[in-house]
Amino acid sequence: MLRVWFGDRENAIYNTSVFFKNRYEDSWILEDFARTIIEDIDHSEVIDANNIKSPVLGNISPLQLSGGVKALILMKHFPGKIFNASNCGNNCAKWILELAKEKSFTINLFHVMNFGEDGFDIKIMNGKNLVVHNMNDFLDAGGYYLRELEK
Amino acid sequence: MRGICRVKIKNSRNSYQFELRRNITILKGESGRGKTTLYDMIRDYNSFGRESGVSISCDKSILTLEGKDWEDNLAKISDSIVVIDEDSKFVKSKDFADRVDGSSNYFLIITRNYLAQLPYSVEEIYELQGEKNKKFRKVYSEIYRMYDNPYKGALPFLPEVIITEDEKSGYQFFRNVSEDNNINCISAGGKSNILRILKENDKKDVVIIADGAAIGAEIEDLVNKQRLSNIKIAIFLPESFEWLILKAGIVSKINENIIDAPYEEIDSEKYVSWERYFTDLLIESTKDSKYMKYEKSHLSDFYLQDVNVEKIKNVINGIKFDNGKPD
Repeated sequence: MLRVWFGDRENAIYNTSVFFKNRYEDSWILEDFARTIIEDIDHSEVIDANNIKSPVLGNISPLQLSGGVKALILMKHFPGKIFNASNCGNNCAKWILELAKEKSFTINLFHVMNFGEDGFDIKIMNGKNLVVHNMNDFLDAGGYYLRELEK
Repeated sequence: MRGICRVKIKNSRNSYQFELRRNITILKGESGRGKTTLYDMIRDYNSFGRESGVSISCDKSILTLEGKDWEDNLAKISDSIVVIDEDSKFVKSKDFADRVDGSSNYFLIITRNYLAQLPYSVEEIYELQGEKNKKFRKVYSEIYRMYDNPYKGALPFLPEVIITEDEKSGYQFFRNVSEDNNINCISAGGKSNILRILKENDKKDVVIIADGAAIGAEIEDLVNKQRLSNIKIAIFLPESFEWLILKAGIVSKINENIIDAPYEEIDSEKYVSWERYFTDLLIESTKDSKYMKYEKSHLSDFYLQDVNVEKIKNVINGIKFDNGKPD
């Protein structure tokens, strides 16, 4: 199940690009998951571990992938860490839910990400035993906690 | 700084073209669309100038800001465009909001975060459009300042409830109009409370009235609520209530251009958001009149006279205040 903390958390990784730069491994780029999200989100093709073909940027290294793709790869490989998912656009949301089907993990959000119209199970860590199953309830929860944190 | 800044940035693979019209502009959107590439190109230009291979066309300096020394670095920058990428956590801080208030710089902030402390406009939230040649596209569209993406056939909209952000003069005006028409008018007492009040009225057709000039942080959640709700929700965002009064023509001798396109008039150093400019303009324009004198804390009877109420309502094309003929 996906767990979400709205707002800051101790030990959470806010700057996911810097963390990715220092911790990613070549083999991760060659996995099916990475290839698929790189194609879907960045519209790019993995040629080898250090060569990705982007229609706009030309041949790039993994360091030039989008912030969303980098964060997703980190979520897959460090399920015990909390990553800032507000670096991910809404086009990453379905992949976050997909990853959470395989293994439970926690993200933190500084905005209410749009997880789409289909149902889902997301545990809101700010509340006690609060699990939401649709976007309307997720918006109610996220909207409430983000504003409470600003008070 | 004041006025519109036109910016062109290019290298051999990418070009970006955009305009900044106010002190705070937000760039957001899906991953993989080139936001960070834009930031990196500006940073390369800052470090190496033309030797970077990046060319920038802009009347003002355009600089990136990042890292733990952001405060010291920002203190050295004036009359420039400051660009901040989404990995910079300090944009959420009160310290940053304090530095923006009173700054002579324009800020282009790449972020999806809920930034309640920054009073940015619904009109200055953009996403990137295009592949190699990218432009800024407004995220939120409007008709008659009714957001987001309303179809004209749905307007004017007759509400059961009006929620005003304002708890002072604007609320007094809309409460007065609502009372005559059996509409429940509720003051949210601040923009960050609107979503909560909306949830408390989730079985009624609602119009939200707030200052477009500073509602930016709230708009994404409000629009999503509008999209997901079974009830009708309309979001009316004039620049501010004072802008509505000025636009209605009740106060004479105000140049129409200043109301519709005040870019050259509003100094970012003096006004962190346009709403404050229009408040000052209205106060200044009416200060010598016993009847028209405008105070934010209390609306004088002059503005509640039938003839003036009608003039203001005529500016609000998207809302129907009674069951009779559309306004």
